[in-house]
Amino acid sequence: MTYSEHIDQFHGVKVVNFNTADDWQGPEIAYRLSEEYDDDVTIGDRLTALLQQPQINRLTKLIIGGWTGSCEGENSKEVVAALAAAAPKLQGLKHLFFGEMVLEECEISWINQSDVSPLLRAFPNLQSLRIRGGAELSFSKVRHDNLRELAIETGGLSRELIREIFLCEFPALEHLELLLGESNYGFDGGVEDLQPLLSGRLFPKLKWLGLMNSEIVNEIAAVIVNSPITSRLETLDLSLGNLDGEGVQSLTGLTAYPQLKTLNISHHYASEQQIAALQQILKCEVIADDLQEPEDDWRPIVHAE
Amino acid sequence: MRNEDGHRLPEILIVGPENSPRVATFADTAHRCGAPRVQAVSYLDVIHGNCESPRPGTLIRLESPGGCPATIRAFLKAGIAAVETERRVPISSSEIDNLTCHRGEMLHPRQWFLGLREIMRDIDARWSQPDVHWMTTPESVISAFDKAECLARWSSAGLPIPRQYPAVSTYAELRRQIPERHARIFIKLRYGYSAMGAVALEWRDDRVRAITTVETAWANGRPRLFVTKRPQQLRREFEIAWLIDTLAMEQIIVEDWLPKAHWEGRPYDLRVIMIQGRVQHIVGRSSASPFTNLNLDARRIPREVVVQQLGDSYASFNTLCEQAAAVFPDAGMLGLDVLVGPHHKKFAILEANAFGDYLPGLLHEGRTTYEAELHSEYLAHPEFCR
Amino acid sequence: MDFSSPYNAGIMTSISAEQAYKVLKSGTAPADLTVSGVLDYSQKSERRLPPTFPDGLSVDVLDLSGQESVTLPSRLTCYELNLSRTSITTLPSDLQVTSRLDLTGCELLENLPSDFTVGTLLLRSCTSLTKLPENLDVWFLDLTGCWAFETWPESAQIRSGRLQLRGCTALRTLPPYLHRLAHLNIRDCPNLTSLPANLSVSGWVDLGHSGLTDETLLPQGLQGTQLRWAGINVDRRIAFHPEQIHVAEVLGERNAERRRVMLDRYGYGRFLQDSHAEILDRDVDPGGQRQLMRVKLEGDEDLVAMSCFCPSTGRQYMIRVPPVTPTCRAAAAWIAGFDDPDDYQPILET
Repeated sequence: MTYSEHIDQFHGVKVVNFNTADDWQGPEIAYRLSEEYDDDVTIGDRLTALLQQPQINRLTKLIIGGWTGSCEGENSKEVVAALAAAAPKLQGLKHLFFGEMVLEECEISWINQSDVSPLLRAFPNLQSLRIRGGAELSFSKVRHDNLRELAIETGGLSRELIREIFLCEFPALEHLELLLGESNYGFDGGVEDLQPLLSGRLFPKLKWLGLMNSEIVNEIAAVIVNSPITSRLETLDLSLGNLDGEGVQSLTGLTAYPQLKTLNISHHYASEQQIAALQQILKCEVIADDLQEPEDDWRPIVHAE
Repeated sequence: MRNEDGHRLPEILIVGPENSPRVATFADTAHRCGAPRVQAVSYLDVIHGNCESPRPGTLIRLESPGGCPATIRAFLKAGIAAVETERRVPISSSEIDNLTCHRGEMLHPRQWFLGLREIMRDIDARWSQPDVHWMTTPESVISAFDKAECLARWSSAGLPIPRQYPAVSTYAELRRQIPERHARIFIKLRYGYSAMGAVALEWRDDRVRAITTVETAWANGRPRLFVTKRPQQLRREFEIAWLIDTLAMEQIIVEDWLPKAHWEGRPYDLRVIMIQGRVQHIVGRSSASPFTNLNLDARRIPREVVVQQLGDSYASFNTLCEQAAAVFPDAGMLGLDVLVGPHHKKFAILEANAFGDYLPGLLHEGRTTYEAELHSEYLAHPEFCR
Repeated sequence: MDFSSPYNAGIMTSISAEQAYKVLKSGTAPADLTVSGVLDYSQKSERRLPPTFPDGLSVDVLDLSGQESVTLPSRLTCYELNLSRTSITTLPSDLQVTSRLDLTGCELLENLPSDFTVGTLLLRSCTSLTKLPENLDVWFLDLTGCWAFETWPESAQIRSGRLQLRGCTALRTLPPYLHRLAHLNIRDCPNLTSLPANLSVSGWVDLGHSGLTDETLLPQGLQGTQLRWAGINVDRRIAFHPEQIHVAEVLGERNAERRRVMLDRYGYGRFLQDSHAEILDRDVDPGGQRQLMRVKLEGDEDLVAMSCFCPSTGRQYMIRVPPVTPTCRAAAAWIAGFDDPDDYQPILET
C-alpha cells in the first residue's frame, strides 16, 4: 500500500488541520490546508482565513493537502497561484509540503500538479519543498538561493521533469529526493537521464541524495558507485525500489567513499546473506529493512499507481 | 439472588453456537450480575427441536451464529427453500456438506441470510407462547442484518445516510448507472458482515481503482473469496469488473464513498453501542485503508478522544444515533456504524449490527457492553426488580 | 564545458518555445537566441523547419528527428539534441550538448567532432561510422548495430556509465583506457575475444555470442560482475563452460528465460539427441529426411523442433516450431510463413 496516513509531524513540530480560526495555535506549529472531496469550504477560503491569523508572517511550516477538484483531476495551478499571491503575508514560510494526499483521497499518480516554480519565485526564503504527485508537474527555469531540500514524490517521474529540475539552479541544495516510480505510471527515463546530477556538476552543496521508489535501482546502483557526486554524499537513499542481489553487489563499490555515513536500501529483494555481506564490507550505516519476496519474477516498487 | 443494586435478574437463555466466546462471555457476565439461572442452547439444538421451550419470564438473548461451521451449514440449508421461492438456484444440501467453511470465507451470504430469516422466524413462532422477554426480537435481528432494509428505514426517517444508487447486477450496469467521468463509490454486500465483500471504487476518465477487503483464491478452477486483513488494491479494470460481478450475484449496496474525519493521520469512523435506544459505548476505529472494521485490525480510539474531537457536534451526533436506533424499537442493543465527515461536521449512518456488541474490554461508566445491557434490563423491566 | 552558464545568463533573456516558433518561422531570429523548453521540429510533429537556425542558438531540447535535410547553426548549445534518423553526415565542431545527443539511425554519419563531451551519446545503427573522434568524453555510449565501427580513438574518456557494443561485428579490441563502467554489452561481437586488463564493471557484462569464450581472459576487475547472456543473468559455468550443462539441469530449470539461454548454450540439436526426444513425424523432402521431435518441458510449452537439410548446401538445420505442430509438412509450412524470427529462428547447424 502507498501513502495511507497523513503526517502528524512536519520538520519537528506537530501538524494541525486548519479549518477555522479556532484551529490557530500560533505560528510555531505546522498547519495543513486541504479541501476534502465534497467539502463545503474551499481550500482558498481556508487559506484566506489562515492569512488573517495573528503573527501569520511568522508561520514557517505549511502543508497543502487536497485542493478544489483534486479528486476529480483538477491540477494545482490555481492553488499554486493563490499561495504565491499570499506570499507577502507568509514571508516567514520556510517549509512547504505541496500535495499531501493519502491513498483514500487520491492515488499518488492521480494527483495532477502544475508548474510549481511560481512558488519558488514567490518564497525566496523557502528552505524545503516537498511535492507529492508527478503528473503535470513542471519546473519552469528558476534560480533559488535558499532552497536546501527538494523532494518529489511520484509514482512515475518523466524524463522531461528530471531535465527541468536539473536546469534549475539551487546553489544551496543539500537534500534531493526523487521518487522515480515506474514506467506504467510515467517514468520514461533511464539511468543516463541522471548523468548531469551524478557527474557532480549540479547542486554543489548536495550531501543527501535519494533516488528512490525506482524500478531501475539496480542500474542506478551500478552507475552511482562510479559517480563523482558520490564523493560528496553523507546519505544515499535507494529505498522503496526493487534493488536485488545484483544491485547489492554493485553497492560494494561504495567502499571507495569513506565519507558516506548512511546507505538506505529498504524495500529490497536481496537475500539476508547478501545484505549481511554488504554491511560487513561497508563502514557506513546500512539500513535494509522490509525484505520483499518477489511475486513470481515480478518485483514491484512501493509507490506506483 | 440479587446484585449490588438490589436488583434481580430473571432466568436467562442464550441462543448461540457451542464454543462461542460470545456465549461464554455473556453467560459469565450474567452469572456475575446475579442471574439465577443461565442456560445456553445452540442454534442446531433449536432447529432440531432438541431443547425445551423457555420458562415464562425468561430473558432471551440471540447471539451471533457466526464462526461455527456446523451452524453455517445449518443456516445455508435453512435458506434453500427461500432461494428456490425466488426462482433462483440454491446451493444444494450436498454442496453445503462439502463446504470447508474456512475462517473469513465468503459463503453464499444471500442464502445464509435467507436461512437466518427462516430460523429466526421459526424461533419466534415456537417461543412466542410463553411470556418471554427478548433482549432483541428475532424480527429485529432479521431487519438489522439486511443493509438495504436499514438504509430504507433511516432514509424514510429523514436521517443522513450516504447517497444510494439503484441496485445493479454487473460492473457494466454500474458504470451505465453512474455516467459521471469521476465517481467515488462504496460497494457492500447487502447481507455481509465484518467487512465481507467491501469495495471502495473510484474512477476518473479512463482510470479506475478499487480497494477491497476481498482476496480471491482459486482452487480447482473455482474462485473462493476471503476477507483479508490487508486490503488489496486492484488497478486492472477486468479484475475489478470480475469482482463486482461476483459480489453482485449475492446482491450489493452501492453508495457514495464519503470522506472521513481523520485522527492521528488516519481516517476513522465510530462504532456506537445503542442500548435501549441510548448511546452507551463509543469506540473510534481508525484505519489506513477505507475499511475501519476492528476485525481488520483497525486502531481503537477511546471514547473521551472521540467526544473531544466531536466537540460541539456531540449533541447532534447523540440525537442522530438515538433517531437511528429508534427505527428498531425492538432491538435492546444495536451496534451502529457512524461516519464522521471531515472537520467533524457532517455525520452519516452506515450500518446497524444486531451482534455488534462483542467488544471485550471496552468499558463505559465502568461496565462492559454486556454488563451495560444487563443493567439496562433492570431499568427497562421494573418487574425484574423486587 | 561549463554546464550552467548558458542558462545562467538565459534566465533573464530567454523566450518560450511558443514565442521561438514564431520568431524562427519569420526568419528574423537574432543570433544567440536563447529558448526555454522544447523546440520540436521532429518529423512526427509535422512542424515545418524554419529557413535557418540562428548562430549561437541555445535551447533546452532541440528535436529534429526524422528530418531529411538538416543544417545545424554554428555555436548551437542544447541540453538535449535529437538528430536520430536524419541524413546528417557530420556535426559542427563547435556544437555543445550537455546531456544527450541522439544520432540513432543516422546511416550516413561518418564522423563526430573531436574533443566532444556529452553525457549520453546514442549512435545506434550508424552503419557508416568506422571510428570515434579523439578526446571524446562520454558516460553512456551506445554503438548497438554499428557493424562498420572498428577504430577507437587514441585517447578518450568513456566512464562511469554504460558501453553498448551489441552487434559491432567488426570490432576486435576495446581500448586500454576503459577503466570503470557500470554496464558493458558486447553481445554479438564475435571478433572481440578479450577485455582490457584494467577494466572493472560494477553492474553487468553481456557476452552472449561474443568472441569472449575464455574465462581466463576475464580481467580481475570483473570477478564479482554479473554476467549476462543475451539479456539473461547467467553464472560463469553457463557462460564459459556449456559442455558442463546437463540435460536434466536444463529440463529442471523453472525460469523459462534462463532455460532458453541454457538450451542456447547446450545447442538445440545436441539437446534433442541427448534428451531422447520423441519423434512425432518423419518424411522426405528434396533436401533429404526431415524429423519432427518433441521434448516435454515441465511448466513450459513442449519444445518441438524439426530437423531438415538444406537442399543446396546439404547442411542440417533444426528449427523450433509451435508445440501444436502435428507433422513435418505443417512445420515446413509454418516455417515458410514464420512471422516472429526472434522466437523461432534457425537454431543449429550440425
